[in-house]
Amino acid sequence: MTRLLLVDDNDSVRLALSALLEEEGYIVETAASFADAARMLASGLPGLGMALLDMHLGDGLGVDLIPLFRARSAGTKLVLLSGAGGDIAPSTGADLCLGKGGDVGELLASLRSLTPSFASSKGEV
Amino acid sequence: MKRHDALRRIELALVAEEVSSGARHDLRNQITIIRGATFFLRRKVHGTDVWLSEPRIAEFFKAIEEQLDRATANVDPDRIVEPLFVRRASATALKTCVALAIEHARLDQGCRVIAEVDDCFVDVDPLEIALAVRCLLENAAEAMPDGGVVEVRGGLGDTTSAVTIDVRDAGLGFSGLTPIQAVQPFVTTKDGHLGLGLSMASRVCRKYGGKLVVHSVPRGSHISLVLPLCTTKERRHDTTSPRG
Repeated sequence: MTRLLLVDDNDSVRLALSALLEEEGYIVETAASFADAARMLASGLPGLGMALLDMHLGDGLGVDLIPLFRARSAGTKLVLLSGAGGDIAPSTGADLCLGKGGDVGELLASLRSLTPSFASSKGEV
Repeated sequence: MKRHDALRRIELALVAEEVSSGARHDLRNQITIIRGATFFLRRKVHGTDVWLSEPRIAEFFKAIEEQLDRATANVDPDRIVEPLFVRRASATALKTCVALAIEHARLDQGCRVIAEVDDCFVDVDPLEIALAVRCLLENAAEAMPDGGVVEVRGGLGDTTSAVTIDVRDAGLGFSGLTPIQAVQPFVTTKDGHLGLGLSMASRVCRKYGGKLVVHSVPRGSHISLVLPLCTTKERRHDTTSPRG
């Protein structure tokens, strides 16, 4: 099972995405701000397979977390999510850049493609 | 279309994009929540007795998804920008972007710009980057109500993979604003200003994989635009012909 960190400053987004990611078989941890994520990273997140980073976090930009992850958790796949859309370039250093609000099935398929060894326990309905 | 008109249209597009970004962000978050919850609930009830006994449940889920697809399309930033501006990125000399910015900057007579830019290339739409640089120039000039010099320095950055455009002034600075606050839309220390210039410039940089950096300096301001260096020079942007 893949351990995943979801960084988003919106409580309900964390609730909704955590629920469906856990359903998908991920072990989900959450951070509510840039500072929270940086603190968790500094404390150590061993075995972290993936991090979903919201772009606009209130106290910073998700894109600015990428160098911290690369330095402290090099093997972690990084996915940048933008709410506003249109302000993420492929060259940010993230493994995947996605706009929020898209089809959930496509989101989950994109995440699975980053971790090929990860097999979902749930089928599509 | 003359360059001035083209820049004006890009400015309108970027203002519209920036002004609507907060609403788009909130709406996309709400759509994400509804989509996530719907997907979760659908999985939980699919195939259960309730699902099988009430065919309208499946129809409702389908209707919700269709409406969410429409809502998502409505908050696509391309819908706002494309009627005014279609981005045309190509390998462009940094000098071209800075020269365009200086040529079209709206500066008071008491302000002058000293620019020194190295020969290096970025893969950008030159007018869009020129507009971002112009925002910095005008921001610097407005911070010096009695006039002064705005210094522009362009060239390779701290790494060999990036270029920077540094804009410095000896004006009033940001009056206690943090770097994060300084680039928020609608945050300004100047009366009669909207506070969109730095946030627009920051958004433009992010589109190209770069960033805007507000440096802490004891006096005045120092802002950098950081952009990925372009190593392909085969399609250099023609610096002489205006965009049609």
